[in-house]
Amino acid sequence: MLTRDGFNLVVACFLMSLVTTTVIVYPPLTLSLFAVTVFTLSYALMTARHLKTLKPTDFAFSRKVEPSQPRPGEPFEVYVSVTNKASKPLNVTVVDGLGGLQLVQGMTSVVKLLKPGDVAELRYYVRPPARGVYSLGPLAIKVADDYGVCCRYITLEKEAKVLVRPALSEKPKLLEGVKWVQALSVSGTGSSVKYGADDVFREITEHQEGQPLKSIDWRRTARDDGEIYVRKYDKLNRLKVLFLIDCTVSNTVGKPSMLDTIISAVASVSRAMLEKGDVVTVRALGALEPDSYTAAGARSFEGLTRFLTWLKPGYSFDFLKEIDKAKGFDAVFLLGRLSFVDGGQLKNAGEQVRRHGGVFFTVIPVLEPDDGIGRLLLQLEMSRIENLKRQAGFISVVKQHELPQYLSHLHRMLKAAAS
Amino acid sequence: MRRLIVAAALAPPIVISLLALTKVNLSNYYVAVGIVSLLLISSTDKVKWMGVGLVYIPAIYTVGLLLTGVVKPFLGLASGYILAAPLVLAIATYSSGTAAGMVSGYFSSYTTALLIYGVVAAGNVTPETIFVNLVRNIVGFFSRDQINLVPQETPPYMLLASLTALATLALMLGMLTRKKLVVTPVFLKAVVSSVAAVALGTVTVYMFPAVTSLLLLALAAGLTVLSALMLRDRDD
Repeated sequence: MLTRDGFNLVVACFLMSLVTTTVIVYPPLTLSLFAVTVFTLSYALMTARHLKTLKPTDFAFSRKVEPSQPRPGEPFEVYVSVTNKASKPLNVTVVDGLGGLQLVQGMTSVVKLLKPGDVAELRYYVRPPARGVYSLGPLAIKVADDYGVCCRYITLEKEAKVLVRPALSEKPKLLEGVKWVQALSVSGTGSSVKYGADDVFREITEHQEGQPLKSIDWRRTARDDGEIYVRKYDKLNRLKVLFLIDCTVSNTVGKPSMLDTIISAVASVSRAMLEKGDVVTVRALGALEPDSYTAAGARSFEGLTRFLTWLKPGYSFDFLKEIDKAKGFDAVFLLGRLSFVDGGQLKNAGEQVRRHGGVFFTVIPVLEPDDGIGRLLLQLEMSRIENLKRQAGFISVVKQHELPQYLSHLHRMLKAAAS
Repeated sequence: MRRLIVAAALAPPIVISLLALTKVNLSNYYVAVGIVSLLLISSTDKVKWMGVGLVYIPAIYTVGLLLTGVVKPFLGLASGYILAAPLVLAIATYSSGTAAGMVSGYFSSYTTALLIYGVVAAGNVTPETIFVNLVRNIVGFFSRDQINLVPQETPPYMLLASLTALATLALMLGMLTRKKLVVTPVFLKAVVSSVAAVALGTVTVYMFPAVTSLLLLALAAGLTVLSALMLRDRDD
């Protein structure tokens, strides 16, 4: 295709030819501008044909993101390198796309004359505004001719997904959470009365091929004659926890959004739960693509955060149907503003979960306004929640930033109650 | 190197302008003031401010004289500006950074020089007659059923033809050269194509003068349409 300069040149040549063949007919000038027009157009056509011989494989590229798992709000570095593998020098402009990411530092394009084997580098920093899946790219190169008349765009990579996982609170402060849960009565199931979620020793057996090295009982192995022994444990008091997250658009208020806060809190507390041996299921209510994910063991935390990262707010959900699927869990946490749920439904849901031996927690996070309008909206929200409370019974109302601590403490209380 | 090439490309309008200037009666000094001030204002930054002074002071003075009934200085200055126009356009073309700018500048400088030469060569050598006839010619062009703006009195044909041929080659080289002169094989092929096309045009000028314009326009339009089709923006 023509560059902007090339296009202007072609238009100018044609107009000049038009004028010198109709209005100002002076043969030397007419022929001169005709020659320039033919030259320009034939040059453009031949150059375009020449550029067409280039293939995407004439370029090698790599893209690196550092750190590889970016956090919401924290800038990360993107490094892109493009190598000319063609046998001739090329005028190249490397252009990268940002998707919804905010450019913090650096440039997303670079112009360079690349000799064979030369590398064009792009290095820039971007910030993800919130949790989610972002697309870097398309990574394209514009190869122009020596005079900048024609160019060709070659897309090297359509998009590179960057997962910005929910922010995790590393060490939840319990003090805030304790204030909220002191008056709670907790009931539910739990097999172990002594050891909580810790592994309980069962027996020592001979080592079988494939068993992990960490399970070897070195003291016993050293004592006997050449046999390797392993210790076997039982996991008792493994809680089955269900998080029902209200993912409707009504939860996108606030900055960071309520939904992001809930997801971060769920991710944080889930990690602790998985490390303690619990099984965590997260079900997205009213998400754009409603789905659920079950994680068991610390290794599956990666998959859980991936699932949480992909969640996008949707429009509505059928609460009664969702609650029907909540059977068989020791603890069910319902989180969100719950704009699509009424008090009666909440009450029934709680009763249904308890009937199956589980504990049901309804937690509604609220924003912390810093202006008059925000405070007014909070009052309206509180009156709505009061209405829900009157019908449903106990509902926890937690400040947005205290949600991770609150959930973490609820989890500890459950473990303590079960032991 | 590029500057030399661009200067060579602008030789025809400069030569035509100089030929016209040699015929002009410069007894009215305001003509010279007009030419010099307009050239200074369009030259380098160092003398630009001097040119601004030279434009405004005589302009205000001659307008003042015009209001008191003295017309000659005003017409002399205006004629000076008009006579300097092709040279000013040539300077603008010389400093133009784009290929389209160069082609347009070359065209406008050339045509302006031709128009002025036509008026001067017709015997209108005093500032008053140059100004009045040029205005009359241009206004007359729009009021008559005429398609050729170039006056009958054209500059020496053979001189201009060969000079324009050289200037055209220089223009092709200069309009695509940025800093360093690069001649690629594709560039040379395009030059050869254009020379062949011009040879065809030249033959028709002599053999079928009536259809030359039509033929050239048809060829240019056909090539432009072909380019538009071939160079459409496509996603690779």
